[in-house]
Amino acid sequence: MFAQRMIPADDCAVTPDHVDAFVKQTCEVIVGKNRAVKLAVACLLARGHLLIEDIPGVGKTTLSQALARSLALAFQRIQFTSDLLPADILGNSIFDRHEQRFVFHRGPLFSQVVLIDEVNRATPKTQSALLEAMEEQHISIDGVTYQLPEPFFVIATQNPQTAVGTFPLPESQLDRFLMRIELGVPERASERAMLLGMDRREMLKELKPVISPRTLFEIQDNVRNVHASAALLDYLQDLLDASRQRHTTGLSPRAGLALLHASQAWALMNGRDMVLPEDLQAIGIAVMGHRLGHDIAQPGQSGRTLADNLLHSVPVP
Amino acid sequence: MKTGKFALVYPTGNFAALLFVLAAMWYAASSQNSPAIYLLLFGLTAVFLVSIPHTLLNLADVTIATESAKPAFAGQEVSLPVAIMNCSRATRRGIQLVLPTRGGERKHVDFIAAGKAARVTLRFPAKQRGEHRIGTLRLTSIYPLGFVRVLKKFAPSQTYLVYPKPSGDPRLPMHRARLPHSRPQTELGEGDDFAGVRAYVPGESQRHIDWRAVARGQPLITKQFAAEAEGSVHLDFSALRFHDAEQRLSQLAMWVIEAERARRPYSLRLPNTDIAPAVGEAHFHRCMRALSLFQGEEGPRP
Amino acid sequence: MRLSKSRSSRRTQQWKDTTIPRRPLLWLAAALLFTLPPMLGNLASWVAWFFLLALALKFWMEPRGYRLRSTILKLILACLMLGAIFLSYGTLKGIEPGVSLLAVLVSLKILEAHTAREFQMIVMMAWVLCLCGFLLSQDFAVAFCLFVASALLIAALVQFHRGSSPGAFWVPLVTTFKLLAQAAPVVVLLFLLFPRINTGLQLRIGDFHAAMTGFSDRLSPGGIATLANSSEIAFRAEFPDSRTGPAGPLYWRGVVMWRCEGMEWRGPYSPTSISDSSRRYPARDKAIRQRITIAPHGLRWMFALDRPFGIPSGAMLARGNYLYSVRPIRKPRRYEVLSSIEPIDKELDAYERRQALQLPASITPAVSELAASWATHDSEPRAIVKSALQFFRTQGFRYSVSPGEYNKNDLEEFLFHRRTGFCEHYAASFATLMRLAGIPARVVVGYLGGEYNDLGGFFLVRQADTHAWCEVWIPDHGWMRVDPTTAVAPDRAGLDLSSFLASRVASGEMATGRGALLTRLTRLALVNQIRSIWEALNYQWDTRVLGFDADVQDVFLTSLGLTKSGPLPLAMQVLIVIFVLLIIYAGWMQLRTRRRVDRIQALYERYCQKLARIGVRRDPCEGPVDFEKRATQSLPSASKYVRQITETYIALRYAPEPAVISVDKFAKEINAFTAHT
Repeated sequence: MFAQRMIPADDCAVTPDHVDAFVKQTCEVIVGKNRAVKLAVACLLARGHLLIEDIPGVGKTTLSQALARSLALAFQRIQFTSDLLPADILGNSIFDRHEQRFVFHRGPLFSQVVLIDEVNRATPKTQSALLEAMEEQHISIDGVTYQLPEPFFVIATQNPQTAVGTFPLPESQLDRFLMRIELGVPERASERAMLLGMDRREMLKELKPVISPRTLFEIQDNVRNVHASAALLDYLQDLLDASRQRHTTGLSPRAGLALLHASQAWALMNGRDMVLPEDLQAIGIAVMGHRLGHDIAQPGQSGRTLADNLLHSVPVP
Repeated sequence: MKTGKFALVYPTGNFAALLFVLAAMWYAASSQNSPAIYLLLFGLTAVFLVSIPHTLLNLADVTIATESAKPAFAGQEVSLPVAIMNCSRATRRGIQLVLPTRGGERKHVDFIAAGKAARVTLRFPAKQRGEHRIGTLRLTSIYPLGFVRVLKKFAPSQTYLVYPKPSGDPRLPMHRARLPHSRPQTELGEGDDFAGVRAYVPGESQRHIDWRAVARGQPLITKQFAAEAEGSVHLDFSALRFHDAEQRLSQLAMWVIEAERARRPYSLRLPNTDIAPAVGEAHFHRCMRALSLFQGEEGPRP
Repeated sequence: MRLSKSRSSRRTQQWKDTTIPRRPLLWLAAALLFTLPPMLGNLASWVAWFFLLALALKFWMEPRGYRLRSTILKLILACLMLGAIFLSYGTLKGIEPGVSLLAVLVSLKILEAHTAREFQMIVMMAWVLCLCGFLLSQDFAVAFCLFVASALLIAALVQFHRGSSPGAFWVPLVTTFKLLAQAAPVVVLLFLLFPRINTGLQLRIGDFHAAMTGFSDRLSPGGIATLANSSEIAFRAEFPDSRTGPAGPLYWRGVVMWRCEGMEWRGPYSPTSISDSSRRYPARDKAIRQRITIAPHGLRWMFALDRPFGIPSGAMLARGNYLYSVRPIRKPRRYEVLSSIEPIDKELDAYERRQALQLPASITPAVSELAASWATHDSEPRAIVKSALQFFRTQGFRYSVSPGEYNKNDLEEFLFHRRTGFCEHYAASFATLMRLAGIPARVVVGYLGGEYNDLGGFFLVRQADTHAWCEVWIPDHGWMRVDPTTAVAPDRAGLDLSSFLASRVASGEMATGRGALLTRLTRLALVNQIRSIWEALNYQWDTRVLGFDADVQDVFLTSLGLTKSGPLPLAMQVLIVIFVLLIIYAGWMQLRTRRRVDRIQALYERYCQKLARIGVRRDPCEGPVDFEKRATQSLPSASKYVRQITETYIALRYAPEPAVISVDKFAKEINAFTAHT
């Protein structure tokens, strides 16, 4: 219906088709979780990092591997434990006897897609090392700065906060994740399809790269060019204002940027060159949920509920 | 949803007093044929008349947005956060929000600056389990002189959920899942060893809340103590001995809370609902929702 | 007590209705202070003091949480006050005890009040106090205070309902002024046009105030001198034909005294009316039209320039050509009168001649000889007058406000020994001497001069301007005015008394009659300016407001042709006009405060309203695409148009280059939308 407002063909011919194929291929692996997959893709396109919060065994690893393979990106998986040290993920300088000098051995973080399992199991020290690396896109060790590869996409998973023996991520650091999504148990029909279908690991091996890294960069650039009109920014700011009025810790300016970028990515994925309020609403819960979940004045309200409340009470101007 | 498009104006109690004063003035003026008293009479009348449009417009472009109310247990209080939004370009003053149908709770807001909103929380008792409509909300104002009251009605389509009142035996039912290779494992429950903390689940006993943490400004968290593991719990409506459905639901609600508190996976079986065993906040609310919306074995209640 | 407390506990919880906020209380206290002035002069003084004490106590008690709680104590206090009022006035009936009672009750209520409800109650009571103030006095100063009190009461209510809104203490005044400014046209409309129906229920309360002021019907030596320091207003006069009035001194005729008792003269006990019809009206250009507003003085004098005719209603022309009211003047009265420049009477009838030559027996020979000496020297009346004036001018007579005590038989003492006097001494002695010389003479008491008020264009005549002069009968001329005072103090006639005295003080001729400070103050331009503004307002109050009673209104309405349909339709018409005015106000305020909506948004909202009318209501939080989906589902027939409109809307509002589609096209689409459904 927005045919006349599609992105001009010469600008980026690849975008919609490539993204569609990418989403489609990932959805084949993760059955019945189309929305979560789309959100994950949007997060990737918006150059953000993703936090998946769910119980084990719902396909978190599969999702991240599928994403990595479809993009032909280097993939690493790190299992966080309570005895993990920052150096274990960033890398170590080890004295090389042969060359008579310290050589930096890159840690597993030096990868394009990094899956961090149970991020809340590690000590806060390790967590902050990771989150700083995520934010800065580079690592400084012994005075030397090492650039992280591009694109750099972190998918962290964590068990629900109620689990014992965890170190909940500090609120300020949760902000570094663009989105938090939940996969959840699949529907009955989807689960049946999965049970009957091929083994997931086999499927992963057969995945073909759909988007080259170069195309991904192009798409990521295009995301930032998706138009957000004054009316839409009004709506976005109304949301931010409302959250600041209602909650002791409202949405930060960084959250505002996150909302904008995520909705731009969502708009692009839907083949539009402008952001609509619906785009903002589609990604709203995923972007705002983890940023609102720490309201002291409203204990027991999950961040998702609060975000949902916001979207259902702030009028679209 | 009938939005507050039109405002009603009606006199307040003070208006009666004003009428009395005006009548006294009129009597004195006409019996004395005194222009000075007439002037006072007309002055007061005119100020009163002019205050009517002021009051009327005090609610112009003022609207409300209700947020979803947190589910409450029957017998507790529902708190409904409402934002009163002033979309006009003038400060609005002296606004009252009334919920006439549920105990007549009223909240007074002294002023709302232009383009800003004020948030109030209406509290009213949750009487019966189930899903209820909020009912008509009223915005009223008597600013500036208090002789007339302007009234705007809002009927939000939102609903709130009331969970059944938990009551009955707090001990969890004994029939447990027959796990083939069940080995004794440590589970959280009513033990003696401190095992950690977790977020407070609404409805559970407040005995174990870490109040010192609350005092530090952290959310409500419950201290947990480990005890002997007992496996998952099956909560079945039809297995209960009570005749009264409400009593059964109350007992089930009690057990859901207890199981959640003990972090023991629990399943819930109602005549037309079946929820697989799990634990966690989402599961808890799912079960509670099923309990509160339960319509009886024969189908929907009249 | 306890019972009522528990009963109202629920409301207390909801309202927190336990204290009176401080700021509204301050406004209320200020308003109550302004209701005091009328009480001060008219009620037993302890009432005002008690009232003040209660106010002060309230401010001491409120922050400490004290208040009058015990019912028994309240009852005892109320009984005590009732007793005190009875003792002060000897009765409980009548307006003064009534107002005292109200003031005392308000004081007790103030001490007792502690809830918002009671605060509003006190405000209403304060308005009744304002009403009572008007019953006690309708002076401009009092009225001013009471209207200020009323405005402050409104401010108190506004502040009360503002609650904790931020802002300086004077902000409620802004709202009050806004209300008052908007109310002003309504007040004017009601005051001028709203029919004043007379209930017929008369409440006799006006009489007690009518203390008599000004001169009496007796001119005794020193009588006018006592008025010389009175700044009380006698009347105001306008000259409708020429703003500043006629040239020359203004002699305002009050009463003519015929009866001579040496130094003392008397007016008639009951003046006889003379017919107006026999007199010939002078030509238009020989007459001066005056519009006079008398302040109530409790007597029957009415004033006009010399030789009045064209008698106003409710007055008669007494023998001696002066106006005399049928009833005592107890409230401000306004009338128009004409005065001739030329003498009217050409003949003196026998009765009047006899009256004008009557002499007391107590005249001493020395005085008679003096008069006879003038008459023998030249029997021509004008010559006699001239030599008499010459006598006053040359024999060392002095003009003084405090000439000392004279008896009515002290004519000789005055003429030959002390030779110090005020106008009444000169007028009385001169007229007596004229009669002794055989010339018919009479004394006229009235006012001389007046202070011209530039703003109001009127002359203000005070009691201090009271003057006495003589008239003598000249056969071919008629009654001729002779003012012997001018012979002694030649510039007195050109000025009003206070400026005359001031000039005398300045030139060192006279001891300071009034306080030196006051005299110096009156010479300051600013003070005079303020005084003149105040007087102008005062005049407007008396003429425009107090003069506009039911009868005047009736005349006014008749002149507008509004009385034909009767009072009820007129009242309805006035109310309709006011209603329209209120709607205009509301519309204006709405326009000024309405939220700004741009055109695209307004059009889209109209489209949403149209859809809402057919059952598809947009949730405020719903985006346009979601709404479109819902609308097409429930209205498949209109889906084409809904899609079209949504597409245009999105293109206009969210697309990168919104200029591609014009807003007019969108407006057309939306206007056409009704046709499809």
